[in-house]
Amino acid sequence: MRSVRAGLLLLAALSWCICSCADLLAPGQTRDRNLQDFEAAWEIAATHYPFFAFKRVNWDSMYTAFRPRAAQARGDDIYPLLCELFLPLRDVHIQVQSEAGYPMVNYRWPRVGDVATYSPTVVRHYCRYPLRVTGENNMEYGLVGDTIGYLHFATFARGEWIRAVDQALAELSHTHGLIVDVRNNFGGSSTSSDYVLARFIDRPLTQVMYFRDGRTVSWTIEPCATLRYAGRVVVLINGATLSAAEMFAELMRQMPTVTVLGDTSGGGGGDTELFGLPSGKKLKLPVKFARRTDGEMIEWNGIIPDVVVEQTASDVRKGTDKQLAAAIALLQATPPR
Amino acid sequence: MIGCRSRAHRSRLLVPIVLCLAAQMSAQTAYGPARANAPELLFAIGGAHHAVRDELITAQRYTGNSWWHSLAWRNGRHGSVLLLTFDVASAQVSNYQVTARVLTGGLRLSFLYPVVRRNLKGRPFELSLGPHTGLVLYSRTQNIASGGAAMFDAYSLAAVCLVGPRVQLTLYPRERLTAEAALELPLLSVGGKLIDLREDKSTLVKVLPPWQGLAARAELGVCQSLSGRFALRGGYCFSLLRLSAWDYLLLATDTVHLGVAVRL
Repeated sequence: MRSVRAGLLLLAALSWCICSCADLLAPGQTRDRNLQDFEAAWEIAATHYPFFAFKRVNWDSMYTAFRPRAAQARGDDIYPLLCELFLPLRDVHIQVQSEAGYPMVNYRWPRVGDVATYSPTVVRHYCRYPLRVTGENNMEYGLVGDTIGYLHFATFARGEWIRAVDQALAELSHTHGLIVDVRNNFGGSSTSSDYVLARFIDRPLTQVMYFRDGRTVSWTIEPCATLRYAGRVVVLINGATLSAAEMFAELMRQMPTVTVLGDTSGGGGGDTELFGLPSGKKLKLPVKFARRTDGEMIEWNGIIPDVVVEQTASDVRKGTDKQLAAAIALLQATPPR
Repeated sequence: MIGCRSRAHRSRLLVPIVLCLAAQMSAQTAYGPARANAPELLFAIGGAHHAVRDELITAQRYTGNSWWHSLAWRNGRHGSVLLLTFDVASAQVSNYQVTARVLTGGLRLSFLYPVVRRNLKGRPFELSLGPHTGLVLYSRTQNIASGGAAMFDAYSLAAVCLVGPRVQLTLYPRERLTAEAALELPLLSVGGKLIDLREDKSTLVKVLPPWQGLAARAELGVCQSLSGRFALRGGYCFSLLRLSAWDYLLLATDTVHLGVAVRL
């Protein structure tokens, strides 16, 4: 009996050991730096974030409320905590990234559903010929109907791909009018959007960004000397047009030949910087912002189109793109150049 | 947390239960080496404990338990044995209050050729060796994460296609009882892993030497014949998926399983 008990005990010990192999081979994280991360994130926002007054958020009170929880947070608990911390700011640009640079915490803006109000498949219902996809799959262009050009930018991400717009505009230069579609474009870099803008403007345009302390930084976008589309242009926007794409639409409409059509844009008017946190995580946070030409913030307000054409996901499911159809009708009603 | 820990304890307690059951059953009727390689289908279910560290998403270790299911086909012919196994587990792993869903699966094919047949204190044992190939899949979805502007959830995916040897030691301590220990070690793999394309310009698929890609597995098991057609199997399996050619990934799984083998 004693030997059976001993055997069972030995068996139990052995099984305990072999079942710990997984834990032994995948060791846990070294010590947490969650409190330091929290304090650094709070401090970075307190120093740089430009919208506290506009959004009426008392940031000091957030520190008082969240610090005790940050002191208790273990492991990846810091992510939901930072998510809650930044939630009242309702800012689509704020992002906490893991040590590997993976975006772990984001605010999903209320009109995220507007993504479903645009479909590249439905756009093709209006095209007689296939659209040409180019620029590392970031843009596509072609003809809608026989005489109207169509140019869609899925993003304004920074990169050499944007140079593909020159080829597209050269091929579309003969068209009666051009639709520049930035629906579902979440933005990217002003370097890319300015590159496109320079091919439509006939005079220098100035973009101004504002810091929280009233300082500004501005730059001038010069017209491209070698290539300019001089015809009528309709810029399509929707609730999923954000950030650099919104600023692009706002600058484009300063040209008398440009009409902005669609639905009010998403309202992400900040320009971000990436900050390191003590643990190696990163915080992406707006440090300056843009205004519309009427002086209002783009943040939360978005860009209101010159011609409002609302479109629902149901329209798209039925195979209809009312915004594109309205843009075509508008350009067709315009006398030729 | 408390619930999570108690599940881990339950999973670990399965091991002595399974091994004791097998030990008790060994007192039953006869089963010999001659029939060990008869064609059979094996169904097994078990409890698995996973520990995963996927640095594409986070450097933190996540752990959790899940059910584990396996289906295998084993056939002996001309002295060799073909073993085809498929197993899958879907687990909710956690790091404190943050959770992720991990799905792992594997399809493996081994051919075993006996290289040593001896008697040890009057009981036969056999050492077999043969080529082994397999496909191991891993996916992970982070429950809290969201890539807002990028419109995708934090997600990781890896697949490894491997080739290497399988070594198996089979003991026949009693006539109807078989005990097995096996080791699968890949020598070369072709692996693919999702990477952060904004940061990492390396290729998604690579040829991996063992130090860059390892999908290894070790098994311990006993099989007790219940009748001419049915046998009860139980055992422990440790599997390891380690990829360091991209963002570091380590998935280690302890599995304790119980199953039925149906001889055809």
